[in-house]
This record gives sequence, structure tokens and C-alpha cells, in this order.
Amino acid sequence: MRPSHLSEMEIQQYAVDEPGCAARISSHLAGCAECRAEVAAYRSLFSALSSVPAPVFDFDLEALVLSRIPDPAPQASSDTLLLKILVPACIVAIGLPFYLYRGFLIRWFSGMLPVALWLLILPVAAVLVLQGLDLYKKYQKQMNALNY
Amino acid sequence: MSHYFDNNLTDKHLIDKVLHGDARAFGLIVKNTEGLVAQIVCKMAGNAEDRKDLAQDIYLKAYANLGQFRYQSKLSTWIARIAYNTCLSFLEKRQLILPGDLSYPAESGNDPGCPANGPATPRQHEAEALLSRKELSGILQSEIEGLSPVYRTLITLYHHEDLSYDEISQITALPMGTIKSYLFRARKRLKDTLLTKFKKEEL
Repeated sequence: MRPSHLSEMEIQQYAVDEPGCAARISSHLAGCAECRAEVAAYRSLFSALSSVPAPVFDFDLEALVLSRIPDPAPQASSDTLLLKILVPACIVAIGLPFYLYRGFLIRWFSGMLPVALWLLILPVAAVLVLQGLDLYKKYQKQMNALNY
Repeated sequence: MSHYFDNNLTDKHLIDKVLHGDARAFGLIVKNTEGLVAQIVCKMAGNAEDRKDLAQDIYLKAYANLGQFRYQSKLSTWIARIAYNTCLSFLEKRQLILPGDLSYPAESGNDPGCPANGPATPRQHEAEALLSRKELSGILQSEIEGLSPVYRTLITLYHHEDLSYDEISQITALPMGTIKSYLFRARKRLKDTLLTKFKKEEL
């Protein structure tokens, strides 16, 4: 720590982004040769960093990748199409029995006591919500693993 | 043919072509983004064979998941993110990384798998050794090698590739504050090390 000088953070900030720095920093630098030298050291470092030669692969990456790409187009679009067919099919498969037996279901549920009805609905809803959350977590984990 | 490979084709055009089965368009994507990917792979993996495997793996993942790209960032940023995550997984599997650790055991200094642009002859190296600027660059490269892979990558992305904090955050999925903090530590270390080797006047 240098109590009478700018902090290391302030010096770096000034070296990186002079216009974005507080006027206090600029005015200190105007009268402090030591801090100016620190700023100059950082600027020299940044200049040297930007002039370090960029690495290149010593193999033909394009040819290597293209030789390993499978012939058909990426699977993502066909997966999406499958999903678009499967989701409505599932909804119909689940919803159809409810629609066909709606009369029976209405009579059955209306015959039940409200307390018994809630005792049935709440645990089922809780289980469904928990399973949904679990599925979502798994999905997020898989997506992260796939590097999206 | 040359019209086809016009670099002005946008990311969207290229992606559409790839998704319609045009593998050559993916070749152009590889060409356009190879430099950035090389920076990440070469900063995070030391072994030439590993780099080759990683580079292939990165682009095969990008190809397989291209249909999921949602244009929420530049295509190069998205591929750079795949590169960073693939390298990070590789390092974690090999237990070569300690998150937040600044220091790293330096590997072979000459970076054999990723030569710098423009091969130099031994004679050229001798000549360059006389130039303080080149000397500084060489020392700097070896000092960067001494940083941990994540720090190396952050320094390179910010100071060499001129990416913004926001773009680096998209690539690394690190919070902006963490990136700034890591960069601060890495810059300070590099500056302190260089200052011990050179007088301030020489810098």
C-alpha cells in the first residue's frame, strides 16, 4: 500500500481506460512522477502484450474438421422436427382419455368430499412440480455439458 | 467459387448454408474463427497432440450444435465459448487446473504445437535477441506461460484479441467482476516480474 500515491487498481484503471477514470486520479498523476512511471510501465506492458505474435495451429484445421464431419446436415433440425411431432402427440394421448371420460370424471370428483379432493390434488401437484424442477435441472446440466 | 467464399457472408448466411448440408460453408466458419480458437487452445493446453484433438473436438461440437445457435452473440464468441469450455473440461479431467490460482507450472517455453505467426530461423532469433523490444516480447511470453491457463486466456483475450469484458464474460461464463479481478492480478504480476528484469526506464 502506498498511502500518498494512487492504488495499484487506480493506476491500472488509468492505464487501461484513461477517459473513464475520475478527475482525482488525473490530477494526482499530473503532479506525481512515481505514479506516472507506474502508468507508463503498465502501458508498456499492454503494448508488448498486444505485439506478442499470435499462435497458429501447425496443422490444417479446416481440412481435418471437414474430413470428420458426417455427410448429412446437423441433427439439431431433425431433432426439433421430431419434438414438434412428439409433443402434440403426447398432449393428444394424455388429453383424449380425459375428454372421452369427462362425464364419469366430473361425477366421480363431484361425489368426493372437498377435503379428500384436496388431499388427492395437493400431493399429486407437489410431486409433479418437484419432478418438473428435477427435469429442468437435469436439462440445464446437460445443456452446460454440451457447451451452449 | 471465390464469390461463394466471400468473407462478407454473414454468420446467418453461413449457418443457414451449413444447416442445409453445405459443409464447405462450415469450412469458412472454421477459417474465420480459427485464430481466436488457437489463442484459447494454445493458452490452455500445452501438448501439441492435445491441442489437435481439442481443436477438432471444438469444431465438431460447434457443427453438431449449430442448429441451437440463437444469435445472442457473435458466432465467433459462441465458438470461443465452446473452445474455452472444452479446454476447461480437458484441464479439469486431467486435474491440471485450480480455479483462481494465479501461478502455473510453466511448460516447455517454445510452444511447439502453436508456432507464432511467421516461422523464424535461428539466425533471425540471434538478430532479434539484440533488440530489446523482441527480448521483452520473449520474456513476456515465458512469463505468460507461468500464469495459470485461465489467467493466460483472459490476458490474451483482453490485450491481444481486444475483446471487451462483456465478450470475455460470454466466452468464459465468469462474472464481470471476477474477470476484472483476475486481469488485475495477472497484469500486476506480469508488470512486477518485468520490472524486476528491466529497469523502469528501459520499459
